[in-house]
Amino acid sequence: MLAPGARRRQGRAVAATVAVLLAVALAGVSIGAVDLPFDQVLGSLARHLGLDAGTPLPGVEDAILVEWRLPRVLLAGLVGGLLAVAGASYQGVFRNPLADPYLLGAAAGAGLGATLVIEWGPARFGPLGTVPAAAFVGALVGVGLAYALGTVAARHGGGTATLLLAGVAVTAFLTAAQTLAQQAHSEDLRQVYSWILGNLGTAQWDTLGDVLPYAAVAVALLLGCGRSLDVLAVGDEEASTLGVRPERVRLVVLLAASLATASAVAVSGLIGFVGLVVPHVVRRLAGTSYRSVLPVSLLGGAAFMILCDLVSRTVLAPSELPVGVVTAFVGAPFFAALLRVGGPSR
Amino acid sequence: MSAGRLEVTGVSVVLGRAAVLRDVDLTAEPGTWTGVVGPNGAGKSTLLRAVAGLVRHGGRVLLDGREVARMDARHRATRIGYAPQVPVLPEGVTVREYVHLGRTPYRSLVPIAGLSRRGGPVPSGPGGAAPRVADDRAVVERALRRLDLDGLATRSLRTLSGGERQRAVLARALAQEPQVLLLDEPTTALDLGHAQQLLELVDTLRAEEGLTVVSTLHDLTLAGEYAQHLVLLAAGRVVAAGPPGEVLTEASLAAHYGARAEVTAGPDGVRVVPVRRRSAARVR
Repeated sequence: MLAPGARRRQGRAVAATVAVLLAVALAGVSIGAVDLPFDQVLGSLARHLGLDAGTPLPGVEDAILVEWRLPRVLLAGLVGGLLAVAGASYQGVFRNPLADPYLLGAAAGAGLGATLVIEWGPARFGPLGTVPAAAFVGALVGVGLAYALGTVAARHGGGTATLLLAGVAVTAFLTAAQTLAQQAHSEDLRQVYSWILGNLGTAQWDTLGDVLPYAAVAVALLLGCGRSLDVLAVGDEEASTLGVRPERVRLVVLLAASLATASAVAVSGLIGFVGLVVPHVVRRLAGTSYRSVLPVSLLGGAAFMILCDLVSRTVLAPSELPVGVVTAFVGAPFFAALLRVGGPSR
Repeated sequence: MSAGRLEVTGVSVVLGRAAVLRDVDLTAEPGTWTGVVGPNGAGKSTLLRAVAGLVRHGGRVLLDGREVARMDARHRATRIGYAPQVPVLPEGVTVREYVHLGRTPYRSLVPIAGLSRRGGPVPSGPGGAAPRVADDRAVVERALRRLDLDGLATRSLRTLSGGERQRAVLARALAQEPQVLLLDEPTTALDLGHAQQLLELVDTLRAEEGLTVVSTLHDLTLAGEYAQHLVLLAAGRVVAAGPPGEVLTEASLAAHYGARAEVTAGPDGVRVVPVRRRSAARVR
């Protein structure tokens, strides 16, 4: 139950985030190696939606918009939204403000799972494909390892940071295993690194269709868990005296957040810090209730990633920077600032 | 609505290899206050947690004849409110939002979407008809008023003083509209004045709402003055039970607390005054 004031705040945050998302998306599809004028981009988009408004782009540029820019921006938005909402969910379920799919080992696990299947298994994308399934299993293994390791370490005295340390260790190991697997087969070293550091350059409409079903299921589940996560904030024991079953909530949220992570990683590689930066900013804007944090993180994550992707392909144009580099440039100092403010010591 | 008669029979709890509670019996009538007292480590909190359904236990805990351990978690939450000794206070949550958590068992946990304006109806519940959002608000506002928190409703929980926090926790439990209120050391963090104010408040709620209150209390004088019925635990067993005057005797305090104390009858119950041997010897 959101109090009336909190609801107004949530409404404002959603409206602001949607506005930013639309603006960033328009910039994302317009700016690039070939700059497309905003008004004509809007005209073209309207035309493709069956409306007749404004002047559309000429043929070639329209093709650039539809075949390259749009799927890329949409995929960036989807990946960013998934990572952000997964990060917020992990933070809620572990009651740890520093949890993030990348720092928890989920992303690295998904990467290893996907790589193993691509290299050695029957690699099939799309709904019920082996790649997303393997990424999902990998993500669960990653989080599971980090959680188990973190729990063991916490018994020897350790706070919030213990889980993260465990996650870092798991990530390092799984990433090494993933690199090994990929090197064993790969002929193209550059591509390997590009994928590990996060890459949205291969986006096509098909890619989007491949992940959308998984993303939809994961997001629907997570958005439905907002109220439960709010109750879980008072601790497992008190939550259960309020009629919530903490183990069940935790299971559903972990599965769904790992599915979200896996779908993002399967198409984009490892992109860190999005799940950390976005929910923290969102909490400042929309309050701490997960019923606000989760949906606003989804939108904000999308906007953040579209912006990072735009930077990654323009800053060194004509060559492209992996988007993970851009998110790390933003995210790592942010993470350091959080440590300083005292995020984990509470 | 059912009455809230609590009947604990033969409850045992084993944690690890240690038997924390052995064969504990306790009966709490509706609208009464039962105090659980005993030395450190006697199992007071564990007994409360067993009644709340938080620890696995042998024996039976019956609420109006129904076994608490077999109740659906949500149904149980509409009947039993529990305030732990050290509540977890979430960050960035206002007092009103916190008290709203008490309405959780009446709300759907899976709304259609995270942004939905109102949760769905309650599928199960003792009252039959599903309460609406407006009812939730009314209950919460009433709980805030009852605990004198109206002025603090929009304050962040973490900025409250110890006494205010305890009141907020109590308001949350009250928002559950329970018949039984379990309070684990509600006065631990409070000075004498605030402790008395809080216990007076609980006593008023007990009398006016007909709540069955079961609380652990380490302060024996407060226990002797507020509870109508005391259960003295020692090493996991009930060693004495009954009206405060019968339970808190100089002999029982010596035997089970290893304490030297004078017990005197006051107008509101029993007062326990610790006595230092040296000064006692000088007086006599």
